[in-house]
Amino acid sequence: MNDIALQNKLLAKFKPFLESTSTRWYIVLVILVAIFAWGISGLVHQITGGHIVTGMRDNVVWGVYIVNFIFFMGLSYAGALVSGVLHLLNSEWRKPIIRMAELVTVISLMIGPFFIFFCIGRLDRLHYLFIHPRIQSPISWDVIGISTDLIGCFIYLYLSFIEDFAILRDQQSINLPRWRQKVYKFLALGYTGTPTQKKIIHTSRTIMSAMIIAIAIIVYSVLAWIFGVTLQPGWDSTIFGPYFVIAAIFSGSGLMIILMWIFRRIYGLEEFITKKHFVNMGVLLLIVAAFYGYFTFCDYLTKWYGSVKINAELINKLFSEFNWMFIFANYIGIIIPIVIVGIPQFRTIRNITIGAVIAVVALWVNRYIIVIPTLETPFLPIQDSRVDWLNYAPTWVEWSLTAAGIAIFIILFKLVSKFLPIISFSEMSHADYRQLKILE
Amino acid sequence: MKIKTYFFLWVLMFSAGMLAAQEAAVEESPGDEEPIEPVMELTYLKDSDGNINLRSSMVNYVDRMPVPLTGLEIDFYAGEDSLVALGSVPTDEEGLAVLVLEGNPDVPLSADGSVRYFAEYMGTDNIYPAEYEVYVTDVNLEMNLEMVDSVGTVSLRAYILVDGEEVPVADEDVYVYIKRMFNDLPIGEDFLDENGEFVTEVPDDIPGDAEGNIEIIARFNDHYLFGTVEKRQTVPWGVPTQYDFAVPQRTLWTQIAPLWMIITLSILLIGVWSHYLYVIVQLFRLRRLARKEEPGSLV
Repeated sequence: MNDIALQNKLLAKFKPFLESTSTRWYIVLVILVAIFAWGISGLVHQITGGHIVTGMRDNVVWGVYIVNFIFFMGLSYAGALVSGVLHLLNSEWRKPIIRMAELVTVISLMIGPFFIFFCIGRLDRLHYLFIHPRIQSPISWDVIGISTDLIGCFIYLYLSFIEDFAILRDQQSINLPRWRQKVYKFLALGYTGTPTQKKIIHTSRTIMSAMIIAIAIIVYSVLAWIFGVTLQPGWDSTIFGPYFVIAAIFSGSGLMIILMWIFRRIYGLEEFITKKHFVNMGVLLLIVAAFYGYFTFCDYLTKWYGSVKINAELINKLFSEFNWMFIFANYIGIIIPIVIVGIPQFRTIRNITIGAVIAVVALWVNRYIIVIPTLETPFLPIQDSRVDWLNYAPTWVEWSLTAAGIAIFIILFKLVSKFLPIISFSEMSHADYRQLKILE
Repeated sequence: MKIKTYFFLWVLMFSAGMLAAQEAAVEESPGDEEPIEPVMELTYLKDSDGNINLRSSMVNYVDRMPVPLTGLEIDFYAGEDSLVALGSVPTDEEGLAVLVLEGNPDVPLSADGSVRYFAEYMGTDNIYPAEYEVYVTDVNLEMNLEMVDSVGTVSLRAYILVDGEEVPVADEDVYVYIKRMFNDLPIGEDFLDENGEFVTEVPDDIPGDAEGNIEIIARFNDHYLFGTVEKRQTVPWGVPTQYDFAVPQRTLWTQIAPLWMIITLSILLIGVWSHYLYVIVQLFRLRRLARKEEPGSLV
């Protein structure tokens, strides 16, 4: 199939979704907005009632909010790494899925930091981070890193959209409202596909791919160091930086597979997103799962062998109170994806997706057992701290905001995929720039 | 095939958890176990203030390894035919029960002038009773520290009281140490002379604290007649030591970040943001080029 024909085929495929909106689409949107609104009501309750409405107390000052923050940031960095690496490696199979990775990067990055705001008791002092920054503070590193990363990811995403904006501006087959055509025209920056323009886009995307890979690694390491540089049991680990990065890629690969499965079903993209894509992403999941398991083992083995009293207490807690969570996060969540992808007979699209769901949920649980048990194991009990305050249990407010975070993630994905096709026309329809250059 | 696949995955998912649960559920079944046969010991220490410390340990040997027995009530007595109860102390986490007798306790003497100290554990259904005794002759150890010709000198004198008379202790082995962080440092050891005396010198190059203080210890070490008897005294005969910490003490209120941190952060930020700016400039160029060049192919 030549490039024009492929482009027309894609336009035809996405025409119904771009032109009109189904009732089902609206129903799902209303449900998601309702969940989001419920979360907002929880937030209002928290702001008016104070943090006492959450499960967080003097000892356990970080709860599900921080878990969600790390989780969403992990998804974002994984999206950046996957899309950046796939772009740089110029692998052919990346084309239908690279936009999903780019969107995961930006949308997760937009949602994640909000969970920090929910966690902070004095939001009115938030601006002090900017007007009185302290370079020594890992929190400042995080603020600088996340804002730099967010801007970089937006530029990277926009670069990948320009050619598609131009295609949608120029196409005649889809009947789009006038305002949308104007928006496409404005955002396309007058791109007409001249050789110089193609070169600029290609060079810029390559630069930004390399940049966002580097930034993703640095910023997620910084996030890990917020834990790693403290002397808390379980956190004071030299491998926390790479461990977090690997864990992020693990969860991000899993999410990519889930999104591929969802969009493949919604848009009927069986022709474009094939079993090959699931297997390839599954193999990535397998490799990263093995690394993630190795890092987890290294981390706990050294802590256990060292026999530092407070670490021993923490490990005892993990193997008693948090026993099932530990087994799920660090055994089932690693072994199942490896078995599914590793044994050829199990390698079906559905099985790989099930493995990916288990991996993503296990990663969330892993974050939970990194944060909570440590805070429940203080070196010194805080004076006058009640026993029931030492043990953390999330309240409905925290769960509501967690659900709201997931809902807004899906809402944003829906809205973007309504405005632009979830498969990049430009990626799919033209050969690689480097190949074109050779032909010339 | 599908059923087999899902069955296998289901088994895999739950087998790991079930194994762990089984392990946790295994409990020791209550059986007819033999009572524990404890091993008891009793030691005597007369400290620098003249207080008597009776120290009893209770352990159970499991696979030849001593396991402390905690919370056992140990009764202490003195005397032979007629016992005088001295007190009861429970064993702590290390299996130790220490009874401190202040001053000169009124304890019955045996015919040879020694005192029989006796520790007893009465036992329970699960632990056999145990007892231990030691015979100790009360000895007085005096230590005098003075500079003789600019040399720190330790003079010891030991005697026992017989009918109120001081009788020198001769030909018994006595030790002199300087207290260190871990073990005590021996600086002299000899038999007491016929007057019950011993003199030794303190080296002048022993590191002390910031003011040069060191603690001198004179001791009968687990002596067959006297048990352990010691005298301690602190004197400024050591070399004053200033501890210079190699790591600079960081504080929360330090005004400026370390130079390496500023340089690293600057390199990273300049490196990243210069690329961002380059790409943003290219985007503006893209729009300008659209006006200048002929349209190309979007494919």
